Amino acid sequence: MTKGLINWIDARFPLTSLWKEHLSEYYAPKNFNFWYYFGSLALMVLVIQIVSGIFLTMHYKPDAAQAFGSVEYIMRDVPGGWLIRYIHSTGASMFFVVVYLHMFRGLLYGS
Amino acid sequence: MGEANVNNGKRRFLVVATSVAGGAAAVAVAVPFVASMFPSARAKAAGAPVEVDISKVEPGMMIRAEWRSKPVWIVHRTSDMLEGLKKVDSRVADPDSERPMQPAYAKNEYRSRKPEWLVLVGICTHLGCSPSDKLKAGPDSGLGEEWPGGFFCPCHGSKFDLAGRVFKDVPAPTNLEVPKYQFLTDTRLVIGEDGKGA
Repeated sequence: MTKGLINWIDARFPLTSLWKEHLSEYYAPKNFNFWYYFGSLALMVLVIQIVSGIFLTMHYKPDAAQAFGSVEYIMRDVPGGWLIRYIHSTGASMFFVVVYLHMFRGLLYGS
Repeated sequence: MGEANVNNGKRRFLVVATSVAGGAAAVAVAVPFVASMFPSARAKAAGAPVEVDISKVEPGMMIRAEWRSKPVWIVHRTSDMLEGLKKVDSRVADPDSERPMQPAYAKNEYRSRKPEWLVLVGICTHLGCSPSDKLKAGPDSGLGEEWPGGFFCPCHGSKFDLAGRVFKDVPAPTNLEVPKYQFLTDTRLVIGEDGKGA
């Protein structure tokens, strides 16, 4: 059944070949080491920040008088709001960590 | 490693195990995000049922309660008032409450669970003003000799009788809304809950 579905998509959109070309069979030099992880990790953290940020904006009020109260509301009353806010704040810190390591890799290897 | 040496059983196991672990992780991540879109504790508190003590409401009197930021009227009708309702049947637009402005248990000639107790959302069905109570019949109300007692909306002149039924030829299109309610005891009323879910 899965095969049928993938064939149906492939007939309309080159999903399998796109996946192979850019991910599973992407040609990468053999000398890559763990310093090269941080580029894709930065992309992952960016996606986490966008998704958690969109969910926070649903409850946050960007107004000098209401901002503090709306953050309290997110932390106490919104179900799971505390977790989403911590994901977003920890993600912001992780973004710096990952991007600095990514930049250091660039300085280290000149690429 | 050539294709000939592939251990297919091991490969299938690894693919399935990775997919299951990834799927479980995706579901676990989705839980707080989906949960955040459900009503918050504050929204639930704002929509919660309200309990009202009606022991001190004499016959012919009316009290007001607040439920979901809306005024709710509780009128203790006298037997004279209940008698008078039948006489205005011909003057109101929807005498038998055919339009769904009330729960099923209030779809009767008194529009209430117990005939003497009338519970209404005090918001005019025209443009949302709160009508004033003109419970007394007759010319003292300032609404003419024919006034049978009821409610008068000062904004555009809509009139309602003592069961919240709208008179003919006024701007309001429907009867006043009856909220869900139930009697906990003879003297305690809860608005917004009728034992069939909120």
